[in-house]
Amino acid sequence: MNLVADFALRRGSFELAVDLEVDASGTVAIVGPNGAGKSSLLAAIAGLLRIDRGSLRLGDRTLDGGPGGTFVPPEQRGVGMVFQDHLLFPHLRVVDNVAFGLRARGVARRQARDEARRWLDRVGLAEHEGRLPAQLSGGQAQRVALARALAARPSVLLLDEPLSSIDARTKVELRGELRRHLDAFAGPRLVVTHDAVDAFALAQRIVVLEEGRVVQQGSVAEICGRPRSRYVGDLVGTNVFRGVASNGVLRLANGGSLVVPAEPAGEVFATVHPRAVALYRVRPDGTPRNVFAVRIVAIVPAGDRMRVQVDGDVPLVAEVTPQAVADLALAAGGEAWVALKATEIALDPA
Amino acid sequence: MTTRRPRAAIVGALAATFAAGLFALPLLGLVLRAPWREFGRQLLSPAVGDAMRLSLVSSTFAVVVAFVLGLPLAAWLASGSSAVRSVVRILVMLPIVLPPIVGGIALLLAFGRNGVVGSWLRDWFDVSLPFTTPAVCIAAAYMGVPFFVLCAEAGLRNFDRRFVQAAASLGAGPARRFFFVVVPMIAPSLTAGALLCWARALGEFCATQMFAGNLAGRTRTMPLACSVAMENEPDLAVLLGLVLAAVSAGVLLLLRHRVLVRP
Repeated sequence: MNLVADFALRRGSFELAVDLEVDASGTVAIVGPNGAGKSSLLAAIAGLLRIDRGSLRLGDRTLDGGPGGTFVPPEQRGVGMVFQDHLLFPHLRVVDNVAFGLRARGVARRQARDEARRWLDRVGLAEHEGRLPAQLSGGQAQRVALARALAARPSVLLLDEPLSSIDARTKVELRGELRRHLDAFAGPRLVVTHDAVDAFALAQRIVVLEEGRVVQQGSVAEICGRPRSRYVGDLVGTNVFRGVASNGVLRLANGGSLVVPAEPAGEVFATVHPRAVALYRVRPDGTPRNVFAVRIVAIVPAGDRMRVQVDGDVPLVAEVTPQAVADLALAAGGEAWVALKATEIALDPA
Repeated sequence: MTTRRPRAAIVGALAATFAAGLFALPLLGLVLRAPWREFGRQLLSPAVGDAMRLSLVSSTFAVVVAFVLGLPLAAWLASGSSAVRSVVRILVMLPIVLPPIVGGIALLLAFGRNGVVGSWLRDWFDVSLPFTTPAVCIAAAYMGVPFFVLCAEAGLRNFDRRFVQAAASLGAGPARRFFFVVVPMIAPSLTAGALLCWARALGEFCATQMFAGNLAGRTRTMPLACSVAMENEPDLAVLLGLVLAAVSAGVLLLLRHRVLVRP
């Protein structure tokens, strides 16, 4: 059963316009900067926000919009949602929180509790059934929220920033559990996140939203290999530029330019892996066609490497070894030279 | 600063003593004058029993009205902001600040034999409200329910609507969301409102006398009985006064320990 979201909605001056089809084959991560419309997208699918144009369909059922102007209220959609701050009902014990969806469907109390206990067992919280939400840790509350959503037997599952309020140590563990539950879910599932690691760990497909538009979508490998925007570049750690290429020169929007391969020409995305950016103390003399002076903005460790962010005609991130940083005595605020081979710059038509 | 501190302390102590005296002395007078030996016998007299029954019935009626009519009203008031809502809110809250005698006159003009609604009730149903027990109940509700609506609306406005969304996404319809999520979550506000409503209705005097009269066994509630007794049986008045004071103190205690202070 596919979820087809082809709609637009306005909230004040913000407009979200998407055209997405989500099948049940894998988890889709919705990534994007703050205010990109990720949460609005989930709210529209859940029926908490009405769409203004287009339609939202689940299988052959129209949930919102379409020619008939249908609106199926949230309680009749079968769309389960795990909220960012869980929203567990504070007055209900954990088991009754999980049983809530079943009770709403008319399942008898005892039967609903029994099933809720099975779900709690599945998320490893069987012994916490009698607690109140206030007595749970963040990770436990997240598990209960997931169990509560799944116990209601939804046909679509939405998760809004499921790991953002979880401390780093619990996160790794929880991410693995979440991945298992997502993989076991039979319908379309969407996870909103702003964390690249979460997106790559949980999802098979990534949809990038920026300013209310889908700017890129594809498999994790596709997104990592060819990030199409600055945001995605930062997200996956690659340098991305948008500009106009002609005769082997790429003119960037900010005025800088790069020597690039001759093909393709026109509006393009240029991607440069940070490891392909070389740094020098003095102006190098060699084959690289792009050589320019830069100022070092920041040096941050990334795994066993250092990411050096530089500013100049072309803002870039270079990835070098800590040894190189020490040998060249690189420091934030200092000057350096960048060398970049034209063949290391990958161009994709925009 | 150090030189001024003792003087500030003296001023503070004086103020505290004065304030405590202002509020405590009258109560002390009540306690000291109370005919403790007569307490049991007086309290069990039929007249006192009737007054207590009437007071309980009318104040409980006010609480029932608060939940049945006041809660939906509060829900509507809290569901948005508009000129109509503002006007309705002022009308509903008016009895809180209105001199009770004005409330009594207004009730009489509306529901009296020749009142706007009263004459219609008389012509069509042959029903006359003034000087009946239902009139006592109406006066109690008129004075008490606004406190409930005030508290309930405040509770609803502070309520995080996203819990309702969470309930909806779990398949709960509007009624289930309201009664199983909203009401339990704003229960402290509702309890506080109900207690204030009940206490205000219990103490209702002026509007009741105006609208329902002061008929023993039919409209004479505890405060009215207290006022009548003051003229010929001061001991009984003191006794009734003590009972009312004790009930009021009990309400305050409940508000403080069960409702306003969360565990």
